[in-house]
Amino acid sequence: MDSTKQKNGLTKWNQKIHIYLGLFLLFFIWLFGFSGLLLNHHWEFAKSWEKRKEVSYEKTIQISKEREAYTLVYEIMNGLNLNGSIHNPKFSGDSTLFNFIISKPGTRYDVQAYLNDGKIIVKETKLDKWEVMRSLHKLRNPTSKEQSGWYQSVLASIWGLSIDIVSVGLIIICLGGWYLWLQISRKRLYLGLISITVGSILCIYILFFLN
Amino acid sequence: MKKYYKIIKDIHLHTGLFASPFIIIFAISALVLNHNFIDWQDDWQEWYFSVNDTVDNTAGFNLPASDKTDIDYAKDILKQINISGEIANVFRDSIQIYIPVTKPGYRISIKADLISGIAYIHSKQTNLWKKLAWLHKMPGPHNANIRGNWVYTRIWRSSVDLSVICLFLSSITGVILWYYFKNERNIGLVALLIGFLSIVSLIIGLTI
Repeated sequence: MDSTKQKNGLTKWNQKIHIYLGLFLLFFIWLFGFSGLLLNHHWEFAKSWEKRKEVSYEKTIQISKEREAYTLVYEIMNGLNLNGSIHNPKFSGDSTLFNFIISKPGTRYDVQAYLNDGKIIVKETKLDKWEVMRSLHKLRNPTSKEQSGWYQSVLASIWGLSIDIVSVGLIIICLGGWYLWLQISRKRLYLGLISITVGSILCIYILFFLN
Repeated sequence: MKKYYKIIKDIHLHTGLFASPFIIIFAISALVLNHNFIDWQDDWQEWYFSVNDTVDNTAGFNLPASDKTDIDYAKDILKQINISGEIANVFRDSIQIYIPVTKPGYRISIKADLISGIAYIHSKQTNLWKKLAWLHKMPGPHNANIRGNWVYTRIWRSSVDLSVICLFLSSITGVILWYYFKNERNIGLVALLIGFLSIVSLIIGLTI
């Protein structure tokens, strides 16, 4: 009696978690699913690079004598009112020129700063909504090899955290879904076995038997 | 609406079960790609030309017809030396051709000498985490004009497409099924709204 009660309680809670987590992650799942399709196919309507808009502009700002790369990047970013993740800050050999890239989904700024006179040249590349989706899909934390030349913005780090939450959430939804499937009628159990076996065979074969 | 309940439940169940192994592979590999607990990133150039440093094997081949495109030329050589996999790139000149090949668990670097007709091969095995990362990123957006040149990459792409469609169907039918659970409507709506507001605010913050 007690074990039946426990089982019912577990099923009930599992169902609740399955529903709430699924609803919470719904839009993330749709975004990652659709952008995954965009990345795997090269559909004509979503060819963003060919449709990019490039603008170059020049501005002169006051630059301090600071020569630490990231402090200098922030100073220039504030002066130009730019935001995003920072990539590859580099000084020229004589330290008069400083280059870096700022990127955020759909936009990239190539910045050249002439440190002696404060002249900044910015090349802004704007991409369309499809590229924004692809960028959101690909946005991740830098690897150990990339860490020295890549400084992630706070929002990009939060997005990285949301990728973890979506991933762990999806695993919980799948495991919970399997448990709920095992609680239903025999007929559905066997039919479900066909569906999961087809998916599993494809994955296991490609993962382990393509040597 | 009630008469459709069983059908909707079946669609939710079967699409979800079919997609679940794919979802688990993608979820685990997303965690791998997003963190530093394994070194999944390879130096591409180092891999492409690693055969210059180490040769594991050699094999002879006959020169393919010279009017072939680079990718067909490379495929012809691979067939003759009995190597299969996704060709990542082709570097061909009049005396040699480099063919980096990849498949889950392997990275192969091939240099084919077009004068002597000998192919030099170096292959490196990768671990399970790298296999998962490979599956997550294949075929992907890079080198679009040659990607999907191996039959299993195409099978994987189609399977992933199918699993994404199943995921969409499973999530849509899941939302419809939620409607039937009257007791769960309020908390479910809160969860849905929090999820929606989270993603919208993050996207706006990241893009403006």
